[in-house]
Amino acid sequence: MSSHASAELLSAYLDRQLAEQETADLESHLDHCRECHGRLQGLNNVVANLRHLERQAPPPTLDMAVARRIALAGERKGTLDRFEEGLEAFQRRSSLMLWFAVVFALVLITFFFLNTLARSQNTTIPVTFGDQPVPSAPAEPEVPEEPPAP
Amino acid sequence: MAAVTTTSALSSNPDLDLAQRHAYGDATAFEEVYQRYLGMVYNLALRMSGSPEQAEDLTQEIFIRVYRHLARFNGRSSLKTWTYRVAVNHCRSKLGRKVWPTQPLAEENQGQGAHLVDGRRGPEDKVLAIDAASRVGLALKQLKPKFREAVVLRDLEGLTYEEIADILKIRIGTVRSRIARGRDRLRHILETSS
Repeated sequence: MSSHASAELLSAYLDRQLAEQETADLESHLDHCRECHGRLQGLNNVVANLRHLERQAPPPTLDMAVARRIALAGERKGTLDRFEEGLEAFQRRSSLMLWFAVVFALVLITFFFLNTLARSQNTTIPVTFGDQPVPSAPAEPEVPEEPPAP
Repeated sequence: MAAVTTTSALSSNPDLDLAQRHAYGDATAFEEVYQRYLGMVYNLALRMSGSPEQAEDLTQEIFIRVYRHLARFNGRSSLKTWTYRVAVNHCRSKLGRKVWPTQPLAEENQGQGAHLVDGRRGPEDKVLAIDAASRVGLALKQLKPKFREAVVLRDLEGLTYEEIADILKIRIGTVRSRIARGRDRLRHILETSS
């Protein structure tokens, strides 16, 4: 190891996360590099201080507060459950109406489809008035072209 | 309760069993989870937020989330890891981009702030230890959240790299890098401040 050791390498070394060869290389480097040795010491102090931070006991009021909020959450859940039950009952009652609506919609779609098909196949539908066909409008008489002026 | 007993007998995973009991409406199941992880969640929230008041609020909210989602716990990780994940995610969403207030050190020591435990030390040593610990606590607040959570999980909660990777849903290499950068930043802050 020619250059200085990285913080990642030193930190992993403290946690014994390095492979055997990596550990040996780093240790031989630390033997003669005061700077890396100093940084390792600094990191070690940080870790030691962190690990000695006392765990705090949760405040006794927390139990009651959590219980209260859980109860509230339970009530909300109850309201939601009732809403869901009502919705299910409505859905059961309205299932017949739903089927009716679907059938009605299908009939409508079929009617419009057939109507469109009929129109596209026979664009000129003969219109009758009783037994007599309705005469079509007389064609306009042809206007003779005027001779060019002399 | 008969259904609970049947389900419990079928499940070989005690954590999953607890979740199933909760799903079937057994109130003692959540109580057991609460008692088991209260200290862990509170201390994590305390170290992540740096404030006892905020830690109390966060702990309440985290347990509400645990209560709501416990029935969906599927046993793929341990319940401890799952609870840590819920806690970290909640802290992240609540504290994510917050700028940390710089509390006076004395206040933290008088209240529920950080201090070292060593009954064998003399009064002077204790003062020095309290000073060192409070400085570390203060420096911790200055870290970016992603480095702080990695350092807290490793050095305060004592979790392995694998567990941290599982909780944070990141690779082990990333865990190693975040822990190292967090520690190095702390070293820099502490050396500069002293």
